[in-house]
Amino acid sequence: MTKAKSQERTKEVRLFSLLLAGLLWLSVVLERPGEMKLQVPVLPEYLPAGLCLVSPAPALLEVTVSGPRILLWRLPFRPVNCRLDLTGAAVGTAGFTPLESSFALDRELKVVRVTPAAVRLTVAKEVRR
Amino acid sequence: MVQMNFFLQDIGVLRDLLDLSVTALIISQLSRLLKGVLALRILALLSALIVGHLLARFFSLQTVQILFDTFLASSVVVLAVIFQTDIRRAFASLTRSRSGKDVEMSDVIDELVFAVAGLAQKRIGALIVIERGIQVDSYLAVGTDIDAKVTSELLSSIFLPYSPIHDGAVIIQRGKLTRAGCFLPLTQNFEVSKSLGTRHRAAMGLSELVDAVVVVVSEETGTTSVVVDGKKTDILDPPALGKLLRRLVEPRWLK
Repeated sequence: MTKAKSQERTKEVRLFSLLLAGLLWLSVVLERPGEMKLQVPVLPEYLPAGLCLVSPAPALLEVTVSGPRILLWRLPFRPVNCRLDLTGAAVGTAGFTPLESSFALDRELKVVRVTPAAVRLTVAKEVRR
Repeated sequence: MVQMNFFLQDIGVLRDLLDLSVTALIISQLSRLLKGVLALRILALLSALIVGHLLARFFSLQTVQILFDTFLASSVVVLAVIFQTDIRRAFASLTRSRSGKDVEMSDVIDELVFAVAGLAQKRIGALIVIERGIQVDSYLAVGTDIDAKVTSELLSSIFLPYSPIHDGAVIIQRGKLTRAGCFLPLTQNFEVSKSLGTRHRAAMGLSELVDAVVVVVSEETGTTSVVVDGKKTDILDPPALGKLLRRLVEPRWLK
């Protein structure tokens, strides 16, 4: 091997070492915990038959999610919804608090804050003409 | 308070830069222990594994992630097994002393140079292995045990065409001629010139596996070559051979 080729190889090894170090560092940094705020639409579900929503649910909730940054960075690329389970709803106005499971997030992600904390909905009997 | 936060953020960036730099330095130093191409391959493989791990994590591909994580976790052991010879050679070169450059001329090397010069002049083929840090025994096939002092007469007589053990390699271990007529593993490098004979291929093959210095005399051209790390260097005259051998073989390997 010529000296020039050997020097070139050394440069390549240094470059690849830096690349590997960068990737290792990146994999560590991306695992560090972080927080992200999301605007999440509310989707009321499982309303008992014969009932209907009189007051509409708020269009968006502001949700703060924490967890590894690599998983947080993916959130803007996938739809996150707040599915409100109205199975036990009765006629009248009641507050529904979104649970962590309502957002169907990755297991490693935690919901830190939801604003507003509860969604007030008015349910009435469905009238057919 | 705001200034304090900025200061702490700066420390965070500096710490990350330091973290990255030290990691790169450690990887670079470890890579230098291995051959250039090999180091590049390992670095590329590990980089690919980490990229695969990151992509699998980002897209939540759990099975693929388990696969990459397992590969990454076991990569150190797997690489150590696959490249054990190279790593052994690298550690042997690490422990090599750098203080023996101006040591007095060794008798062994003098005798060897004298014998090689005579053999080359008469165009008698020869293959002489000088063991350094890594033992060569496990790579030798057949051969006759000899436990003798290295002398030019003995070396010359072994390689004389009528000698029953002239057709193999002579092994010098710890300054003693320990074996003769040994067959060495041939090189697996396809880039080696087709014009090179079996003797040169055997020299390259062994030197690719261990850190031994192999001296070859071609019976066709009468030229002398020294092969180290799979690389052949043609030597023009005996003084140059002596100088090169003294540079390559430290006295502690001849004791």
